[in-house]
Amino acid sequence: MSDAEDMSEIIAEFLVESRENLDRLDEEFVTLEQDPTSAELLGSIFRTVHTIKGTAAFLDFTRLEQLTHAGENLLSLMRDGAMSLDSTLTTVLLQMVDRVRAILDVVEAEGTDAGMDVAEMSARLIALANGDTGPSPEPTPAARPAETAPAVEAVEEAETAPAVEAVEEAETAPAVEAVEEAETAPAVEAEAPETAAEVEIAAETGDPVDEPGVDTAEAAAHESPGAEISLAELDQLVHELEAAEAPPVLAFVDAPPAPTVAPAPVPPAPAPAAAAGAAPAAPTAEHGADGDKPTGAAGRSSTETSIRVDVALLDRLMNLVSELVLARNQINQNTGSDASAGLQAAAQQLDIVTGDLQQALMETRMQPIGNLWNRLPRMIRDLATQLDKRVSLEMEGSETELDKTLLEAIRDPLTHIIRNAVDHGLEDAAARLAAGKPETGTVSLRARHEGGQVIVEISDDGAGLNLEAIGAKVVDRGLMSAEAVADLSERELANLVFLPGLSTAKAITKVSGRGVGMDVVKRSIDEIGGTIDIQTELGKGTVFTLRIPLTLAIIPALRVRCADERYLIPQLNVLELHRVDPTAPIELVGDTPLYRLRGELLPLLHWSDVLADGPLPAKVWTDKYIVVLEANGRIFGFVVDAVENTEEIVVKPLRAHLKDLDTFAGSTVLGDGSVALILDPIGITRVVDLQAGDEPTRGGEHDQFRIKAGHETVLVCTSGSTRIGFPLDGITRLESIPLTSIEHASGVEVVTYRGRLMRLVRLQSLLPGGGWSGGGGGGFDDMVEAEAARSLLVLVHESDDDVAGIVVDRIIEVSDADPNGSRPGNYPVRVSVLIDGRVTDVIDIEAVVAATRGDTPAMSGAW
Amino acid sequence: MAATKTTQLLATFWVGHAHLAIDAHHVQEVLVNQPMVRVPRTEPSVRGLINLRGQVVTAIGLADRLGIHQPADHNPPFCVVVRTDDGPVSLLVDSVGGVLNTEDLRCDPPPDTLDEAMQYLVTGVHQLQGDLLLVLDVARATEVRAGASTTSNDNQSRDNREEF
Repeated sequence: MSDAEDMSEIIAEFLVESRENLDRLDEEFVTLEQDPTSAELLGSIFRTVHTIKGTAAFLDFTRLEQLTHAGENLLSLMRDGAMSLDSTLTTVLLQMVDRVRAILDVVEAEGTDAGMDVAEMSARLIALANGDTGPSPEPTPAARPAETAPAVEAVEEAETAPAVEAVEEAETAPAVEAVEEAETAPAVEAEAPETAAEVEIAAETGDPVDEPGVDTAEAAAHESPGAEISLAELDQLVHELEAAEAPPVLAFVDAPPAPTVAPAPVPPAPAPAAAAGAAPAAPTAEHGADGDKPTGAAGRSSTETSIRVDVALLDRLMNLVSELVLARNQINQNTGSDASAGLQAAAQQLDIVTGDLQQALMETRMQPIGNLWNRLPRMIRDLATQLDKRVSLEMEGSETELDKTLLEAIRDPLTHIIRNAVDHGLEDAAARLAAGKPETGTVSLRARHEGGQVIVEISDDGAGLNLEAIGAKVVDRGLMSAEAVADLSERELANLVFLPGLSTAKAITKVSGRGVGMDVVKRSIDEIGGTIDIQTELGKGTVFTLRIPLTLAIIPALRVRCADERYLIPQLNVLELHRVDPTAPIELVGDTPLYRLRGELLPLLHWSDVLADGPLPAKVWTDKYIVVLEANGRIFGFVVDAVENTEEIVVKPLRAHLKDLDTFAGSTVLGDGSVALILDPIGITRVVDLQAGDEPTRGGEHDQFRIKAGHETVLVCTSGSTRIGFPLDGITRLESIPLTSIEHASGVEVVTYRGRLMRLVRLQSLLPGGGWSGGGGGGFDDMVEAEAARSLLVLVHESDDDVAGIVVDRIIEVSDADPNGSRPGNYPVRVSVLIDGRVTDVIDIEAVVAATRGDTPAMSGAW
Repeated sequence: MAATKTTQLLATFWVGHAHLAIDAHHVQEVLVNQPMVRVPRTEPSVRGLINLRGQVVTAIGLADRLGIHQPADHNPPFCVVVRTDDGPVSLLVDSVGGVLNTEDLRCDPPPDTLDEAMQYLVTGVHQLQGDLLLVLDVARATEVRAGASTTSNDNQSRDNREEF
């Protein structure tokens, strides 16, 4: 029983470790392809494959062993300089890596690799090995001294050290290494002999070795003092070794605590490599002596200082610490100044220790983003081959750490973006040359910490996004109207690629272009509380910027009160807090509340819009607080009754069936033990969007929060008796100008406004049938009204070199114009539209401003 | 059908005038008068969230699930906390009875006259003296009802799993 358990544990560990090693292989192969002479890399690759082979043999996974054995043979030829890695070889070897991965998957699922067919793959590897080595597959002389020199070390050790040590050393030393060479030498054998047999073969094949390799062996002997020891002695050692330990135990000797690293013979590989590279004898000797040290660092990473922990265990620990944080919060809250000094001190101590514990535990969950990036070089290579492009990958800040969960969460989005960058972003070589760019395209990844977030940038120097094509596509798909698209800024256009069902690839390739993806990417990033943004320049390239929180489990949050309930808002989304200024009250423009914040118009959302069930209570706007939130690139004010505090909260995910609630990111337990919900600012905007969509009759209500679909948004006002509208885009701000501040400059009304001189434009004089000349009661009455208010309501239109204020009498609402009911108008009316069933003249602001710019005295007469 | 598989120990309780029961093995604990936090914009049966020793637990109004009409301001005082695959869930009931051994009791399938909401939740009926005891399916009682068609499939598979 326990044996079986041990085995399954060993297998599990083998799987984990092998997969890690395979990932590294991917990377190393790609690097090696660029620098095929790197002995270090080759050595490392060889060791990895060899380790897998050895363990597979030990665990009796014969197919895996057969495959890796074939791969190893091929690699050993390269290591010995008989072959060099080219792109064909790389591809085949990478295929072998994939095949090994597949076998590992099967092993994990079925516990055996018996069902896997490796014959074809092995045959290809063998064919490659044979094909290039020709009829004399004898090892090259260069390899010989490599074998001999470290062996010598081993023998030395064997003489001076106790028996067991001798065995260890012998093992790590090339005694077995020699086996490898021996095997390669005669022919490529499909099946590796049993370990015991190997050792014997080593002993036997040891003898002929000195024939062809005599020169170099002697050369090595001169450099290495122990080299006189004959191979006969090595032979003897091997026999000792055999006598000392039963063959299967061999695997355990080197690393009893971690049997999966069993094929200990792997470590000495750098020694031969170094020797083969004609390295000085001293380092060689050192390599031999320290045997497994250098490789220990490279192969199994610092076994002594780190352990493998199941993530589930970390999650459990995290939960426990979360509970502790809550208990701490409660103790803090209940330890008032009336508590005893002892209790207070203890509470303080608990506070500090809990904080440290939390911090330390978070750190255990942190992983460098490089872990994610490791696979990319391989992926890019495959993509580039497939698409026949030349791509180089640059990575910066791979040591940047973030929570393991988040790391996993961004894996797919990141991969998707990079695939897109290579497939759509980068042009093919010919197009690049034609565009005057280097033939090889570059994809760069940059990661860094910034203000409690991790920023990941993925940039390419490709063609950039064709914004026009995107706009056209959006219109074509009926996602937005042409007018609405025309109004978008470049950045907004670029971000349209995140709309579902949009792909601008001309042809669907195997790699990407099916129009699913970018919206999923965005959703995945949204889900972890991150943001994604695109910047692009046609012909220059595209940059994706991901902002990801460091951790999800414990976050700083703002506690607010809405009626008698408390909610939490993640600090990440909070830009600033305002108490509603009684002198600058919230303006209700139709149904849309707006607040003037430093002159900018901030759309507001009352908590009851989001949090009230049943019929909406009458909204109260006075004596409130505005939490200015940024979510999904939109800035809006969330109006709450009170702001209580900021605190670190432990996010408890909502039960699965409550997860559909967009409005909430989770729940938490507050210091007093009560439960509170965490608002999800992104979800809030979604809820509101949904509402606006559901109630087409009140479509104007939430225009600030959504992409306007086909309707121009118009600010409806009255001027005199006329109902007029202004495109909202043309208006920078609404201002109230005291009459006393109006001055006259060359007959034109002006006010000093934010350090500039602002012209006042009176529309009455421009509008036919209304205003001054019409003289009707309306104009007069309104004038009186305005006079009574002692101020003018002014719509500010600002451009770089000009600022004009259009005087209106009253603002009625913000609404969508229905383009179907429109009729072109004459200056100053651009178009007449139906809004809420009433004809409204939409003013051509630009034309009005331009026409009144070189102002005529007649204008001032308008008053 | 459901009557063929009888549960031996039932935890009983009342919602309004309905005498109800669930398999006692699913019951983790019973709490009284827990402070509860409302969850806006969700199903009416989600009456709120309670803090169960640091764990946030959804409280489901059993009356809402069963279609038993109660005044809007009526707050059932008892929380029957049951274990589910998705963590503990609290069922809100008006009062709790005892644990009943049903070994010698006859269990009938739910009568056709029960309305749809009841039909969905009730797996069987025990005749007590002058009283009917309705046995509820725990998994169904603790779900937040959205679309009946999909959730009933879910439960079908869950039921099957229990049988194995």
